[in-house]
Amino acid sequence: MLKSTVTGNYPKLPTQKGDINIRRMLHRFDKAEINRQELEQAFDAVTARVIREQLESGIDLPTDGQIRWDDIVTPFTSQADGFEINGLIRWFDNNVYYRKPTVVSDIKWQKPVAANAYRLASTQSGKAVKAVLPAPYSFMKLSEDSHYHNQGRLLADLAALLRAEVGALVAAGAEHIQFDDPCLQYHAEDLPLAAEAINSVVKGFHATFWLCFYFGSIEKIAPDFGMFDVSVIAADCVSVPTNCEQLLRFAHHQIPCFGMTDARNIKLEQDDILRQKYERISLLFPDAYISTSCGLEFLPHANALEKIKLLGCTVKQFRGE
Amino acid sequence: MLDTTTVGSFPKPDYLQKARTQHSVSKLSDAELHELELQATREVIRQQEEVGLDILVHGEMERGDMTTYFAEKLLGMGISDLVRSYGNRYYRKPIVADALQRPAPMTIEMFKYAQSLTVKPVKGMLTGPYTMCDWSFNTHYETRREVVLAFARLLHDEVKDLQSAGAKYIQIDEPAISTRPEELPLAIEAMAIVTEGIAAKTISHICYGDFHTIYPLILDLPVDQLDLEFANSGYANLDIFRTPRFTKEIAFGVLDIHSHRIETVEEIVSGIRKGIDVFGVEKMTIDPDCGLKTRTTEEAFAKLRNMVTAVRQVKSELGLP
Repeated sequence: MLKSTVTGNYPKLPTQKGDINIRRMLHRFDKAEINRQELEQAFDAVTARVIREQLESGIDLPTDGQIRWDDIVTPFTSQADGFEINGLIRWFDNNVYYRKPTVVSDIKWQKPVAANAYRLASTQSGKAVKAVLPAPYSFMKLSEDSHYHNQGRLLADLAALLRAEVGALVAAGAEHIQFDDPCLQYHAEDLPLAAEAINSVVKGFHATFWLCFYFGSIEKIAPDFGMFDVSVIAADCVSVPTNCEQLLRFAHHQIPCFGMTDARNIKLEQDDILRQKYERISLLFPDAYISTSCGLEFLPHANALEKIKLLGCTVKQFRGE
Repeated sequence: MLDTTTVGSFPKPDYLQKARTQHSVSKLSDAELHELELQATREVIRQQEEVGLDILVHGEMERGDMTTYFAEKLLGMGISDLVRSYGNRYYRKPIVADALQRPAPMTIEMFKYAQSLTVKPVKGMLTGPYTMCDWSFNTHYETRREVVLAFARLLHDEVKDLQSAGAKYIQIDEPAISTRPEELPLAIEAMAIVTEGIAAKTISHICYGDFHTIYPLILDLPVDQLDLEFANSGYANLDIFRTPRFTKEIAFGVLDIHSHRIETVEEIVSGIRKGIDVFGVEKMTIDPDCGLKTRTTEEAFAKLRNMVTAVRQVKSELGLP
């Protein structure tokens, strides 16, 4: 049976005027009008709303929406030794930016980042929630190295940091843990290195591990998906429609997850066309996941909500529910 | 030769920021806001003259965002709810929702007003067709190509109107052009439509991208001058332009507009010398890396004062008038 999920982040600001506005709360925190505890309570309340909206939309496997995060790497750099944060860099081909971490000394994990958010989301959800981490390879490519000057050592220490995060997540009860690796499809020659790093992170842990690619073509890496010790491979089938064919052709060793709902444009997909695609996928992979093409934070809240309602509804209808 | 200019935007004075907020909640009329925009334009023209710039800009006091402003003027466009660009910063993204039309000139009134305040040339300022497409949602056209070319045709009319209004310099910004190198030929095709038959000097500003991926093909962009950032990379990206030889005029960015720090005259002089080594003095105009609207007015003009002093020092060393 096909199942629905989302890729990771979710719009932080609400459409409804009465709902908590995290932007305003952050401004108030900056001006010392509220304290840290009040800000954390606001983050928790928004996370609860985000989980509720996903469940009400019929999403089978939600995420916590990454409400506390600005991007996928800096939350981990702020809680570990070895990093400084630098200037703004464009986030792939989007009109969105992130602050590039610079590695300035040996990287050492200090305390869990993702586990607390997972616990909250899991409590709110009452069912499985997918935790999301950066893959070690993309973590490295999205950072600047001014310390190691040795890719192997840097990648090994990033993998060790992420292994500690995975340990904390598994201890917190996480059953699904996704690694986002959006840089790898642009550097296919590094696939063995990236696979070795991921495999060292997950080794010995019992969870369903995901590897997620978005924005680019997976054509050059898909034939080697078998090198990754993960259970699910997810790909953006909107930005590069041929990624769908690549998943259908090469996801022999894993369950594929097809990113079919465009999370970078507000135009809604036609549900009959989505169902035709589900039909084709389910013939080859009856247990596949269907998801958004990437994180939903590129959309305003109301549009993101429409997208997940369409996703949840069409997958449920396809299952005959 | 070594003329000084800026990229386009200047910080809005506090009274105008407050007025824009009041206007957004209907507590200030269009006419009252417009009067304050004119006042701020008068001030920024006077400040540019005082600091000694050669080619002025009108400062974009009437514009909130470089794409949204045009979306508000064109038929067929809407504006989305807020989406996050980085950190706690959000913007309203344009939507191409119907066939694009330009019901009236969009920039002529402010250009004419600014030009009437000074004997120095004022640049006409537009956002290019590729960036307008890339930074908008599209729910109407079937392909990105259709969107880009539709923008190109109506921007051509705007450029003709600017030229008729007396603009000697017309800048058509394309900051998104380096994000998808595979679409560079489309951006070039579109710019050819925009600048066809235009005798005024045409300029295109490009920033925050990987110039490796678009050089030397970017030399085919049909404008007279490319305006590029160099200071924020510590001039590390200069080497890209050594081979093959740069064939256009260059507006050479020597101020990091994302830094509060005021660059010293000495370091700007050093940067200009590095630029001369690659581009040759006869092809160079000197300016900041990007628009100055994210800086305070004090920071912006402190940076520009040092830039003008540095240029005068280099001119003196070279025996230039």
